Amino acid sequence: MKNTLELTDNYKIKKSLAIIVRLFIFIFFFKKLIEKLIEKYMNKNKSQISSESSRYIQLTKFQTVLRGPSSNVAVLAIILFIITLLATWLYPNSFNFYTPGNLAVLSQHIPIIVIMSIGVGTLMICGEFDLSIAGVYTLCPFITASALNEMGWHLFPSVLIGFVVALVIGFANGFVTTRLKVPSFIASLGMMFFLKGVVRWFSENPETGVPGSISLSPPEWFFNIMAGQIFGSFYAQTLWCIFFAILAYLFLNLHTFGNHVFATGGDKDAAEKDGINTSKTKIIAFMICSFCAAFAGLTSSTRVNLISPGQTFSGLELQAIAACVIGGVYLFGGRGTVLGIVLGACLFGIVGNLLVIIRAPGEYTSVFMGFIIIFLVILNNKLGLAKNKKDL
Amino acid sequence: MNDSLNNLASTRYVLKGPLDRFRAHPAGNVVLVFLLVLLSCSVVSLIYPDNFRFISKPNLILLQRAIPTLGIMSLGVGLLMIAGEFDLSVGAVFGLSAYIMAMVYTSGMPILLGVVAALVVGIIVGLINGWITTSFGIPSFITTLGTLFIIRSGGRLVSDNVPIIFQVPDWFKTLMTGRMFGYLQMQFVWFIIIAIITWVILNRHTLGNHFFAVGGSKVSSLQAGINVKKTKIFAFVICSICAVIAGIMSVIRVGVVNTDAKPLMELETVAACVIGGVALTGGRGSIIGVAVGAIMFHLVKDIIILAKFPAYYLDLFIGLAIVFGVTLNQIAKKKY
Amino acid sequence: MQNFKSTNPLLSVKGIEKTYGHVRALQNVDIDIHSGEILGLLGDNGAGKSTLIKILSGIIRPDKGKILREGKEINILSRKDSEEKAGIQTIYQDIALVKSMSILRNIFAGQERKTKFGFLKLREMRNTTMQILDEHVKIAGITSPDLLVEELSGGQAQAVAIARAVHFQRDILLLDEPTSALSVRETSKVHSIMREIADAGKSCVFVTHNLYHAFQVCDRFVVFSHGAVVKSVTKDNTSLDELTKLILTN
Repeated sequence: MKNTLELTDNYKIKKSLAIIVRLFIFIFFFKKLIEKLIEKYMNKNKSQISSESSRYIQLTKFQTVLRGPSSNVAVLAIILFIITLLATWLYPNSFNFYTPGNLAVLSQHIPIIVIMSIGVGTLMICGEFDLSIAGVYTLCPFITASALNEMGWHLFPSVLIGFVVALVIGFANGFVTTRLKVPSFIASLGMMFFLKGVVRWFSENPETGVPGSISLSPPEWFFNIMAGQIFGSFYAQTLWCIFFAILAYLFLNLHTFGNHVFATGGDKDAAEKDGINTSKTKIIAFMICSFCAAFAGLTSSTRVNLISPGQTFSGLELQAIAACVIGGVYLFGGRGTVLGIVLGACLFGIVGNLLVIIRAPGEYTSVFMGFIIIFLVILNNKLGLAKNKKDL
Repeated sequence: MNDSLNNLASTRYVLKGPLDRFRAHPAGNVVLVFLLVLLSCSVVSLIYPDNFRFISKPNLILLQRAIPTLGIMSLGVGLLMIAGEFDLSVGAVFGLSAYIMAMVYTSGMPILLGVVAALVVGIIVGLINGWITTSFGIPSFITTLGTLFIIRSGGRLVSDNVPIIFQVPDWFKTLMTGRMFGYLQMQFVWFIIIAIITWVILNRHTLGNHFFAVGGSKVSSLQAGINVKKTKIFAFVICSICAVIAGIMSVIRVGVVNTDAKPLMELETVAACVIGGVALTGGRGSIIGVAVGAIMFHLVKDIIILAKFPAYYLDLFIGLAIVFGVTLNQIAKKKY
Repeated sequence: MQNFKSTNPLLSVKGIEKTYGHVRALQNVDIDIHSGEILGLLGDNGAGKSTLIKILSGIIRPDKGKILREGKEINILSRKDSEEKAGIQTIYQDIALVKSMSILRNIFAGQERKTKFGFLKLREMRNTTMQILDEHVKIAGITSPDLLVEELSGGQAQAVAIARAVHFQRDILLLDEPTSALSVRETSKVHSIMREIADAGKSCVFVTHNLYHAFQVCDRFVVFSHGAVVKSVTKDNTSLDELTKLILTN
């Protein structure tokens, strides 16, 4: 019986690939099964609705979710959960997933990805992309830190100006995309370069010309709100993440704005013919995306107490897009669920964490993620509702 | 009554001059801007020979060495975009192929075998990208995002992050990066050659016609009997091959290779193509546009360095230039 | 049949011009729409019919010209204007429903029933949707207002769009090639809906290629060619042959 999980590299690779393949075959059949059960259930259950006509059935929330794109992620998440439980049971000494220390790391790291993905996901449902979020993630906390430390402002205005800048950036992205008709891909790419330059400019030490980092050093109560410990391994970031998720759900599903977002992303021409102001909707979505990125950046820099210009290179934007796609957000817009986005982002973080625990080299995360992205999208296609596959 | 009705037809079209017809070409505007910029730079350089050394031998040599990397990759990406797909993994292929060539060469094989090995790897990646995208109906954005992650990290795993130091044989070095007539860099010559080849493929070959068709309207192409799957896979392969060539060229002079590609390279190629008039939705574009787009990218950087602006202006202006270039194209599209 | 020359037009456009780049899509167009009539807009492709519909629906703005509602000049700058100031509801050839959303959300897209803060009154919307589905669209296969539009056939989707327009309609219904995707039975249903609306004193403007259908259901015809009106005539004063010849020779 192996005491540790140290295996040779080759073996690890083969084993992981085999697991992935088996995983997806399993999900495939599992889902088929569930769908058959649901169909039987639906046919039996013609629930009464409060109108004269009893011809129409109302789909329950569960059925809606199952038919939607987020069910695949949900299944994957459940499987992952089961795997972690199994591993903890089999290798209690070396598989330290459910330890307070690890849960603390998870509780602080995952919410950041989730918050960013919520912003990016909302924008993607609207049918646009924002590749500049890494820049916003770095720049806005930078501005806050500069205002706080170098210009001696109070805390509240410093934070405020950081967010105001984020909203302005979002507005600019939206404006260029909707009014100047530049594809959002390109516009935000340009904005990203622009922000990279701005960060470099701000962070340059005037004497040496070398870009430097800056530290935030907020007052203690601020630190506690943003990144403090609540109890045990529970940290404030998790609460923020839940808060954002609830807000996102409310506004996407129960608010007029959400209806407009789905319509604009689903079919811009039809939405405009219906009188929806697609430009306004998109600009607001861009602003939301930048806001989320700024918030995530602020939270993360509060915890680490450091903001460095190199963060703009991190490739965060592609990761957030990947998390959303895993979570069932349709690349061309119009489809997606908050649950899916949250699960997709969590998956990202957890898989990374798992690989650290079994002491695999860091690159495995990306390899895994690459496979998972491709396979989950295939899965979403095969089992999803997209009847007309030619559209893809 | 028939006469007045006939007149109706003739009053319907408001034709303008040849300048407008030129600008209606997808790359028309970019070329105009490019020529303008070139002209102004040359003029300024002549007036202030000490402060703005644009038309100087070292500067021209520098430009010629820098442009082809982005340029050759953009040509491949441009062809693929015309066919309606994206390839985000070109940056990773760029890095990996150079590494493979070095790996083969330093294990004692002739350099050409290394090149062939790198090309084979590139072709395989292209085939995989193309096959997955077309067989499962996945957006190529996603497929290549996945392969990007896989190749980039997989490459790092394989190489254990240890760079290879090597020196290619002199004849190869001269062939790829030497200097002709004192002014012309071989890299640039290769860039022109590949541009010509891609131009011929796109405009004078059936395959190019199919690229436009498939990118413009998949449904119509299917109905016309074009093998959409094969065409797209071809496009992916060509794109990867260009990335391989660019990768090989970029490491020959340096002599050190690691599997890490420059971050953002894949997005820069897309930007260069879009500036050059290639439509993001596919079906539209031209080789001249892509080439000029890539050149403009480096021109902007060059101008900033020459004018001795601080380094951070580089990214600032690249960002602005990208947006400006595309806006120009969009405005032009609306009118024509 | 009413004598339309005597009553004042409900809506008229005068001198409308629209140019796209180097193509004049509409040249000096004058049209009147009277209450209680079904007006057929005929003409070959590219003649300008759809452009006129877009202008009336508020999607694009004319370069020149006036729009008058009951004699008073109005500006149609948006779809809302088109509905409220001009009293127009429009149905499109490409159905213009968002395929990835449910029937319920599509019916209320752009005109959601909302609370003060913008949150949706879902129950009210649901009841109205089912009412709409029962009024005109008793088509087999629509089992729930939560079905996504992409799950419906072309005919069902267009029927939903028509039902929506009819339910929310004001005075004038514009139909841009509404029956191209429909079966024979569904087409005649659309025609009878148009007749009902006209008999109730409202108006329909019917853009179509199908001269035969147009001749069956319309009271008056306006023929377009190359962006201009070439003939305006009531059904009594013309024949199917004459109209066909008119369109074919231009």
